Amino acid sequence: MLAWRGRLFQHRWLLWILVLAVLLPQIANQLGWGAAEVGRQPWIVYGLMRTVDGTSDTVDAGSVLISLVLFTLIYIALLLVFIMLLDQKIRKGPLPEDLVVDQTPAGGGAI
Amino acid sequence: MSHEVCQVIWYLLVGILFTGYAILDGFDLGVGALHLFTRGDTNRRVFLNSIGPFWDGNQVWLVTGGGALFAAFPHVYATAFSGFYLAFILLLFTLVFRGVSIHVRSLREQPAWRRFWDGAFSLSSILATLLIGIALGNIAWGVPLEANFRYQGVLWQQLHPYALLVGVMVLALFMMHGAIYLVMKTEGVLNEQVRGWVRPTIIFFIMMYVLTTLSTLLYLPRLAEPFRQNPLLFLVPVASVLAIANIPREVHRDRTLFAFLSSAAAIVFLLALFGIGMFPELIHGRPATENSLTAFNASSSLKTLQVMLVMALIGLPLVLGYTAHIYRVFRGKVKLDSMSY
Repeated sequence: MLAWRGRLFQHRWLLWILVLAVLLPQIANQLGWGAAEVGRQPWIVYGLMRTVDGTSDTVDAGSVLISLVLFTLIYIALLLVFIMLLDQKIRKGPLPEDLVVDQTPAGGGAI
Repeated sequence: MSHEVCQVIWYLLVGILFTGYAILDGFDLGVGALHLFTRGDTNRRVFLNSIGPFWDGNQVWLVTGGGALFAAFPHVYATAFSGFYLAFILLLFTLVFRGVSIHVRSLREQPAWRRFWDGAFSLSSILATLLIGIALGNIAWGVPLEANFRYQGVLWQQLHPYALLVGVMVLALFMMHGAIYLVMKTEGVLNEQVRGWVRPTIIFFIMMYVLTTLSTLLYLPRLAEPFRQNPLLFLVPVASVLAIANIPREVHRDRTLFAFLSSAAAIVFLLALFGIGMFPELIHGRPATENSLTAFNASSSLKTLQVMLVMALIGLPLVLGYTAHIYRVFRGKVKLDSMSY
């Protein structure tokens, strides 16, 4: 609508929403996963095997905790790397050959 | 087909899958272990791009081997993955870091950034290789197996001298394999440099091979028993030595593909030695051997093994076909362009 009126880039509030919208698919992804995991309880294989019956009796709680902490740290580190690289890509902007020049005159049917 | 025949076939097939893994991921882990020995950004990029189209596909062989183990020998899978829990978590993290290093290393220009990821790539390759060897050493040496195949593993107890020795031997093997691969994929001055690595890595490997063989004969004589009973099997170690001796000869003649195939053959014979010595055991029990996991007491049902066999007969040719195709498409020397790592 705003693009059609040629004013897409004049509304700071809208642009900010679009910036933050980058996170939405990630959040949807994680929440969907969480909903599936929580919703399946107390089953680990739905209707066949309960989660309590699926845990190993030879792996002690300490080992599980260590792996969980390490996983969390590694994923935080990878998130930081991801943000750094994404930030660099945004600052650099698109490559010249990837830029498609919009030939449609202002006000004429935006896609 | 009787259950026993199926169990033997799957013992063999799991062995073939892990051998395929050792040949394929072996060279790219080896390239990683050698990565820091070359200087200069372009050289290191050539190293990364020599394995660029292949390394992730190669790693799938480990997943396939693990998957086959899960389906064919579920007791082995359960005992190993729970008993070696922390070691496997460490292996997983090294593989995560390795993949990330390869992908992000060249995405920034800063020398510090590239140095950091070069280090992470090499270190994770070395650690992953050592861990694979340590796992191999442990199942041969034996672990305390209780009734019902229960094994409560402790990481530091799994780092005993024999396991570490096998770990370093596998590292030496992969470094040799990777050096030969690099001779095949590089050109010019860098090619001269990596050619110089073939001999020292072969010597390093032969030293470790001798030490591992000696300690196996001294401390694990049961692994030599099949060879004592059937002297014809002695041809396998002879073949492995001949394959290794053939490598410098082929490099000298500039037939680098044959040098690489020789190195691959050495890996096949080496793992055949291991498999023949271990058969029918998959994880040795120590000190009590009555709970050892074997092809016969740890497998899934006849029906499962038969269904899996049909799937393997369909799937394996497909996998071998596309693997051959990918290596054909990306054959030849590495050329860097804007799409390279």
